[in-house]
Amino acid sequence: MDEFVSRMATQRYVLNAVNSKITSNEELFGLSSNAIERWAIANQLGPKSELVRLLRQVSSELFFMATHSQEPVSAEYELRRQRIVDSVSALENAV
Amino acid sequence: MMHIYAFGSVCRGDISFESDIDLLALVNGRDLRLDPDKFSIYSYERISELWRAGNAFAWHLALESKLIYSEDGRDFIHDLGMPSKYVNAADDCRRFREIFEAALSSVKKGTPSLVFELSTIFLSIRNIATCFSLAKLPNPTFGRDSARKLGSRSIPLTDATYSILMRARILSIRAMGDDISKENTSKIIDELENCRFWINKLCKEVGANG
Repeated sequence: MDEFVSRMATQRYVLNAVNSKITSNEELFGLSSNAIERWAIANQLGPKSELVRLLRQVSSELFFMATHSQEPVSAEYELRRQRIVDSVSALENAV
Repeated sequence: MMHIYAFGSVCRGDISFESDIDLLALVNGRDLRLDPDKFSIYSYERISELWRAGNAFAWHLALESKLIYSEDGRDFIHDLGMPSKYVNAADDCRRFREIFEAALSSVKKGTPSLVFELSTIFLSIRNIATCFSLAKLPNPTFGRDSARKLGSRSIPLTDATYSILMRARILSIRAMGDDISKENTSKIIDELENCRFWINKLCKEVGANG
């Protein structure tokens, strides 16, 4: 459950970073693939957008953690945890 | 090995135009064919752990899931029997109350991510209602209307505000629907402040205030 709270906090952090710094036609509603796709279209960001790529990366890592976080800690789990930190940092620089 | 189940509203027959179909995939290890946006993906080991722990999600699946595909012809979930007794209501409700408070605080501060925060508030009240019902009521209630199906303990929110919270959830997860106007935020905040009494009352009943 603490992992769940932690993932919610990470989502909030990323969404606020994007929504507070980017003047857009529509806010980013969430980090699901559908929400990212809608936001990219609303803001005319193409498939080559670095920001969209980073958002998809964070989203992918968070979803992985959501379904695997309670399993015995593996090397991949730790690697992905670090990837989230790195992706969020890169995303902050990109916005 | 793979088993696929439907669960939630489609199994209750409680569908609406906005209803999604919740799908659970049980697999061994990673399976790149499965889109995590479409499936809740669990290993057999993990789902068995949830059963032994009497986890709320295990109860949801035990009571509201239907087998769609079985690679070995067996019904894995049915074969698990019923989960252990649900004993985590106090902890679960306490944590979802924390999540509610964090989201409400963000809304009050004028968050730039209003839809996400309202979606989070919806998630927290729905789950508090579900956990409460699992612990205290003869018939547990799951799904989007769980907070409104608690009889005399149902959530004191107007239909309009409940609907906005539900729309936010659909927008945040499925990106469907119109954006939510920020004009009514102050009215929503007033109602959500009142929700605190409801949350604390339910939390008290399950022993989460101690």
